[in-house]
Amino acid sequence: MSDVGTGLLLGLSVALTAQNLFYCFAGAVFGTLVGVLPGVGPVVTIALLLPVTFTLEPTSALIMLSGIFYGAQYGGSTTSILLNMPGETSSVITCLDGHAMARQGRAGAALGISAIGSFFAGTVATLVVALFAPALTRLAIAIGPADYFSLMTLGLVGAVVLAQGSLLKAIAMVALGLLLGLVGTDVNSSVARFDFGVPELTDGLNFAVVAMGLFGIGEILTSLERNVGAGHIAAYGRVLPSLAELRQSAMAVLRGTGIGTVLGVLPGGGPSLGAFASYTLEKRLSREPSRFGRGAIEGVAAPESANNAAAQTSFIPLLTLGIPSNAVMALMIGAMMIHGITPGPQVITARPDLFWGVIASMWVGNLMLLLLNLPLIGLWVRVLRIPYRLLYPIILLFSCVGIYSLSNSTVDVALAAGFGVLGYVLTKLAFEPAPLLLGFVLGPMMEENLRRAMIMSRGDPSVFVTEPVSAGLLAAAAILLLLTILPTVRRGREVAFQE
Amino acid sequence: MAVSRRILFGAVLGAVLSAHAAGAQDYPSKPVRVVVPFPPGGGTDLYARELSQALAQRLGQPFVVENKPGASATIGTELVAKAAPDGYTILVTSNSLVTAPALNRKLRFDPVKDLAPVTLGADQPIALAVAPAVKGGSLGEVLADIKANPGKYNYVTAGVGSPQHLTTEHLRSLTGIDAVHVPLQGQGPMITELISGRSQIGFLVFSSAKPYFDNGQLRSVGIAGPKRTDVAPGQATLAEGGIKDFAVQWWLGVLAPAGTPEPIVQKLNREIVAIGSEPAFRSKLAAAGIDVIGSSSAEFAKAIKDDLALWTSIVDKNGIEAK
Repeated sequence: MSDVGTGLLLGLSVALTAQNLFYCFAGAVFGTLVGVLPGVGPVVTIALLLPVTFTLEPTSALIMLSGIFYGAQYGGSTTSILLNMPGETSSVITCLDGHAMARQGRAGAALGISAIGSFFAGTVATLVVALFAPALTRLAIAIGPADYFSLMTLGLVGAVVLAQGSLLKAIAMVALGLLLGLVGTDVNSSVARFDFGVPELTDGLNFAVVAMGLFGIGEILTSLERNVGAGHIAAYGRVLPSLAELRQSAMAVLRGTGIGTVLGVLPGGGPSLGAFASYTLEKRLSREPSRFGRGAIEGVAAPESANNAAAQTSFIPLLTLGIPSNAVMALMIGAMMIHGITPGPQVITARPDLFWGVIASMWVGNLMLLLLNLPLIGLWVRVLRIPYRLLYPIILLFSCVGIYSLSNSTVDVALAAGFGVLGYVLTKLAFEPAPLLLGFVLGPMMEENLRRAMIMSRGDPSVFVTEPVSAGLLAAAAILLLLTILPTVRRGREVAFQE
Repeated sequence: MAVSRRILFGAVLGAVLSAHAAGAQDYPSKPVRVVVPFPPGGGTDLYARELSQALAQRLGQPFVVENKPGASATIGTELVAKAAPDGYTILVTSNSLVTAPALNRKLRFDPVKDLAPVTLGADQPIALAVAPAVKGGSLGEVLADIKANPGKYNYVTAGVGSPQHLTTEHLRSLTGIDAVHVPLQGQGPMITELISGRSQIGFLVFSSAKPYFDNGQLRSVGIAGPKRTDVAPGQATLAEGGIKDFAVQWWLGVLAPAGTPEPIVQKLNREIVAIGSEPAFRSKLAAAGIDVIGSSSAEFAKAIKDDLALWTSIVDKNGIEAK
């Protein structure tokens, strides 16, 4: 404990130098901006800024690059809420209730709660990183393929809860998502599936491409049908959430923070999974799940807290193991190596200034982001006054640039356009794209880990129930399935009668 | 119409010829595109970025790194193979250049005929790593333990057909060890699997695995390259350890489209070799686990041919299929 205290003091002394405060601020501003721009993500930004960091102190470089990453989690919700277009993949789920709130003239409250929730989550998660990094590192290592498979199973069962309308349609969407996840090279046999001879497809579909297409471009296509000359939302209400709304969100923020913190540590988890999981949980726990998708503030508070908490804790495997848990962290490793620091367990003892400096800067950066984002809300909501005919071409342009920059591929842009059309068709047919995306994320990980677990157990399936973590998760999935099926079947009938 | 077309043709031809005649003195007169067929952040990308910065300083034109990842590095490679051979598009890639054709992947280009080697710029030393469960200190003892427990241990790779996989298959066929293949996605998960104890054997880039060799969570039993290197200090080669003829290099090379004027290729070669002899450049890359070499273009051409033969024989001998 005293070690952590000394460490944090050392970290603050590093993070609070004028130079590092500047780079932290620069990272936070950059991050917010790329977060707001749909499609343009932190990976591209960090890759572009990597050469700039060559000349910086390694600690300053990492502080700035980290700022971009978690800053993007703040900015990502902005376009989700205002325009139903996720600025970041981790903000996809925020579209559901965030945009519904905006339509009701509560855009300010939605943006406010996501900034406040993000700040709370970021603060807690930073503390968790400081206090429990070594313990959580052991968790990241100990979770094996069987446990992952069971976790994904639990996630898939939960996916059905995401459905706002028909259960059958939600299951169909999850299945479609699973199928889309099959596209690409199979890890175990290296056979390219459903690539239709297109080399770009051999690596599978990019989550950002699918999400941007279904939500962003799909939304633009759908809105072409509406007759809207000027901005579609006249009033945007108060800029900050009311006391009642804050009270309503408090538990959601807490739970979102908890889920995000844990899922962020797992390799392959990270902000997107955390956001999905926390939203699912909130809807499940809510006394009135029917409010979700119609502007429930918990549906914004929970995923926005979760994605920022996960963004902070996904630094744990990087800082303590030298192992990247996502593409952004892989870039961070590059940044460290170019400065002659080999990421690994020795960093905490060999470079305590860097380890603690980066952790302390996360808290400083989160505070900066809160102070930066709250006043910006008034400005952002004014975006809604811009007429569609001006706003949408701009957004479309940025989306194309962003999607192209994912891997400098025009095929990705064409695919996103295709998913835009799919998104339009799905909206017309009243299918929800959210369960599709969850199936898409979970499916490939589930398959990969199922087969990996079976290889390691030499073909013995009992491994899924003899491993304690896996068994626990499977039991939870079974209970959730029962809880979901019974009342939903009943409720489904009621809804059918109402319609 | 006919006349104007002829004039146009003449003008184009003239421009093309004068561009060729201008040769290497004026090169580069505009920014050069440096294609890296991998996502940003890896070893190849790091090398390409450092090299581009140094080239820009020496030649007075920007060298712009462009990541074109995908399909086992073949998308970016194809782009350069089919680019205009004028020296303004170059490729920085890894030995995946030769592993892809060795695996009989369907390629729309010929990595030998469509690309002109500039230099074998660097090498990433790799080590054979084992988890504590595998007994024995020396390479011989470790191999003996693996052989005494056929099918008991797992070996990890970065996927079917990855350099890690082919290198391990090569080891298997030369030593007769029997272990179970667990394909993963990249080196990060490989280290996690090894330190968790779920898997026991794997080839890792030495520099990234070094912290785990230092703290004893993993052991290195030798490096795979043809000779010892300062980037992996104190490490004997696997050939020295007793696996005769084992020499596998994961190199990083620079290539241009075939047909690029020889003076330009040679100018690039001279500059890159000169950069590679600068101590600051060498030590910076050594810190990232990259051993700067800088061969002649002819030596690189030979290395590509030799490696293509080596990897093809490994693939054929072990019946590896990766489409």
